[in-house]
Parts: sequence; C-alpha cells; structure tokens
Amino acid sequence: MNPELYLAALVVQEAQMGLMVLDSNENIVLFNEWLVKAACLPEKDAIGKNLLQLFPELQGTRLQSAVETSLQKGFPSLLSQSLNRTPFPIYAGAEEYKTGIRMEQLIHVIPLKGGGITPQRHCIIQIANVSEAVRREKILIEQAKELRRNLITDGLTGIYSRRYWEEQTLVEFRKARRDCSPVAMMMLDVDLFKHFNDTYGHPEGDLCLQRVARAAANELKRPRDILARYGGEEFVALLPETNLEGAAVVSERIVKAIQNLQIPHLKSNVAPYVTLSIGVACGFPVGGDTQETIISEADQALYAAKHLGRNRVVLRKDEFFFTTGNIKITNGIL
Amino acid sequence: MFALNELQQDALLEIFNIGVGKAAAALSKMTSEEVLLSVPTIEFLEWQEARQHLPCGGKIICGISQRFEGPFTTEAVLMFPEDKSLEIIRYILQGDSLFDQLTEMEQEGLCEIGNIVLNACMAPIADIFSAEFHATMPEFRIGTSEHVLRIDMAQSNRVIMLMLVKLQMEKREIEGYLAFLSVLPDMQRLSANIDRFISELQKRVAR
Repeated sequence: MNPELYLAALVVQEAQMGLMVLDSNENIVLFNEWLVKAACLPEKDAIGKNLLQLFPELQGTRLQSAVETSLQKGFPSLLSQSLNRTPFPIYAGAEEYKTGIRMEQLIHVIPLKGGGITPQRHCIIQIANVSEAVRREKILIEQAKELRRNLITDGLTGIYSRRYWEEQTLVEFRKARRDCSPVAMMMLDVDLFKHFNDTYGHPEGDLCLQRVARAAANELKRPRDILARYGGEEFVALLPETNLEGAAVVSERIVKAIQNLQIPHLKSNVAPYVTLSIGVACGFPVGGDTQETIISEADQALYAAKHLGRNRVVLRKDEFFFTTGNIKITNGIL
Repeated sequence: MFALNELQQDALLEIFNIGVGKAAAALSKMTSEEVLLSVPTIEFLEWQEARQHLPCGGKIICGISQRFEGPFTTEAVLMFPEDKSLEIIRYILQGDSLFDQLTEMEQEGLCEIGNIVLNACMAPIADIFSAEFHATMPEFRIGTSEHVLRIDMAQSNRVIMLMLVKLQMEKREIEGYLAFLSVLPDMQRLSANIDRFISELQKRVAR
C-alpha cells in the first residue's frame, strides 16, 4: 500500500464522525471506528452486509431514498436533525445504549463517482453527532418561553401584565376599527385595600390580591377577554366585541364572585369581607373613540362607584353614569 | 433574448411539476402533514435585465442553492421570503414562533427541504440528457434576491430560468420561486434536449 493510501485509511478510521461507504448494491464496504463504537457493532458484522439488512428500520425512510438518489442519480442529500432526528440506532456511550437514548444526527449522503479501480458508483454516509447543539437550542427555546411568560404575566397575581394588556389593546382596537365593533373596558379596584394591608400585613395583602385576581379572571369566559393588573390593587379588563350591557353583566358577576370569596376585612365599612368596585365604559374605535378616552371614562365610572358606597358596578354612557339597574346617577350625587 | 417555444415550455413545466410533486409527497410522508407543491409559470430573464425583474424586490428572502454540473450546468435556487420561510418550517416542525429569525435547526431543516425539491427537479433533467451530473450539497443563503442569486453584472451571457412555486399546507398557500442560472450555451443545450425528448415521446405515441 502506498503511504498516501495508508494515511487516508487511518484518517477514515480516526475521524470523529461516522463514515460508512456503500457500493452500488447498497452493501457496506467501509464502516469506521467511530461508527463501530456508536453502533456498538463490530466492524466484521457490518462489512459486506446490505444497509437494510443491517438496519431494517431504514426501509422506506428518507435515508433510504437519499441513498438511492445518491447511487442512481449521483445527487447528494442532507438529512437534518429537525426533520429526521435519529435515523440510525447509534448511541453516545454505554449508558445511552442501555437506556436506548439515541444520538441526535446530522447526515450527509455523498455520491462517489465511479472510475479507475472502482468503476461502480459508491456513496458515503457521513454522520455527525449534533446532540449538544440540539440541547443548546432546547435551552434557548425554554429561556425564550420563560422570558415571554414573564413579559405577559404579572409576577404577583399570575394574571396578564399591564404591558401585555397594552399590546393586546392595540391589536383589538385595530380589529374593532376594521370590523366596526365596540370595545368595552373595565377598571376594577379592591375596596379599602390600604386598611386591609394595615390590618393583616403585606403578605396577607398579597394573598388577597392573588385570590381576587384569580376569581375575577375566572369570570371572563371568552378567549380574547383580558384581565390585567394595572398597578397596586387596581385591575383593568379589555372586552372586545362587547357593548355596555354585556360588560355590565360580566362586571356584576365579578363583584359577586369577590363577595363569595368571603375574605375577612374587619376594617371595611362596606362589608365584613373584601369587596370590589368596577367602572365600565364602552366605545367604537371606528367612530374615533380611543383607548385613552374609554379608559378615562371607565376610571370616572370607578370613581362614581366608590363615591356611591363601593362594592358595586357603575357604567358610563355618553355624559351620564348609571348603576347596573339602569338607574341614572346625576352629577349632583357625585 | 433566449426563449423556449410554447411546446417546450409546456414540456418543461410538466417535467418540473412531476419533480416538485415527488418532493411534496416525500415531505408529506416525512412530516405526516399534507404538503402540496406546484410550478404554474416559467419565464426566462437575461442576466442584464434580471436586476429589474427579480421577484420579491428589496425584501429579505431565504434561498437554498445547489450547483449541478454536467451537460447542463446550473446553479439551482429555491427561494421564499424570509417570513414565509419561517412559516413553512414552523408549520412542518410544529415549532413555536418565539424568534423572528431562523434557529440553527430550523435553517438546517429548510436546507433539507430545498435539497429534496432541487434534487427532485433535476432528476428528470438528468434523464432527458441521459447524462451524469455532479452536484454540490445544499447551501443556505439569506438576503435580497440579488444577493441570494449572486447577481454579478460582470458575468454576462447568463440566463435565469425563473419559475413560480406554490406551496400549500393545510389552508395556507405560500408563493416562492425556483431559479436556474446558466450560461447561454447550456440553456441552448437544454432547449435542444427538450426537443429531442418531445420528438421521442411523439414517436413512442405514434407507435
């Protein structure tokens, strides 16, 4: 053997990737040391065998058709890990072999033109272990998901964050303008929460906010309705494609749900338990109503609800305020 | 100006449609999602005028390219706008849209899709020439269509065979392009071999 050929054979055996050569009948003529280890298969058991005889599970797969394309047409193929994952039963070590966890593989099938002393066409199957790259990408994706969760949820209560609410409001206003549909907004505030904190302490206050937020969010049944923490003990809700009457029904349900929690609040002059006030407003973005005007009207309605004795819902319609019983409230009371 | 007659164009479109049809069947089988591919139109652009007529204007596109060398030497490129490329690969891999750019694994996946489509298109061309071709591994490129197609005005005598590609997945239809860049003599050889292929077909039908 001349020295170059000897060196080439050594390189193939020592290469840190799987190298297998098939002849034109798909019989294995070369199976390098890396593959012997990864497949836990002695070289003598591989050489001379047909590819599908040695690996019957490859029958009908993309790898088999890539080998055919290579041997018949002379075209190379790339088999990505994302579309093929683990075509060959090969393992990173003894532990993985025992547990059956296969190596993630990136495979190249490369035709070798026939000529000289090997007139037939052959092909190389080159296998790289990409498990580490796959693992890194999984971590990256998990971290991005976590980051996104943190951006869209409020850390304390677990409901949506104000930032997400603002993003979704923009989206829903665009939709409402296109569909000529109404948008309702609610401002919600836990009554006399400062007294609650002073009486029971901040840890209890946090628990109270969590329970109130969960109970209120439970009353929003449609997937596009959003309840978010606006700040402190204030919450805000966005109800697309909802008129004032619809929003009033939902608001009443929320006020009842908070009453039903029966969280003791002995310093409250409204009830012996925690209560909630809600201001509601509605507008048509197509008619020029903006997010700011509707929110400001809902805020004024919330102020009216507080003024009327809390633990209730007040609606703002045109220039006027109404209770949910459709009783008009004159400005004199306010 | 290089052009094919109507019969030649129809034959070539038929050949490419069989090719992309096979590629779509392979993709559907691999992903268990129904993927349909078709090539409805074909046109030829001279190198000099290509810059003005390239698809997707200044938009960023992703291209997968392979060079095939033989009696018809060509640089074959499958390309889709960047946002559509993300849509395709995330649909096929059922991945989340967390990033506005391709991840490494997604890029490799796209490269493989391009490889399947380009090999399937060139296989019948090799049959028409009854000749052996040497081909390179697929290469991923991102940028404007000018960059992806490596338009270099210094190279004259070149022709681009440009085809619209329609990819259907579920209810979505995504448009991209398939381009074959060759020098004029190669395009002329393609034209002559299509004629030979058509006349052999006619003889077979006559028999």
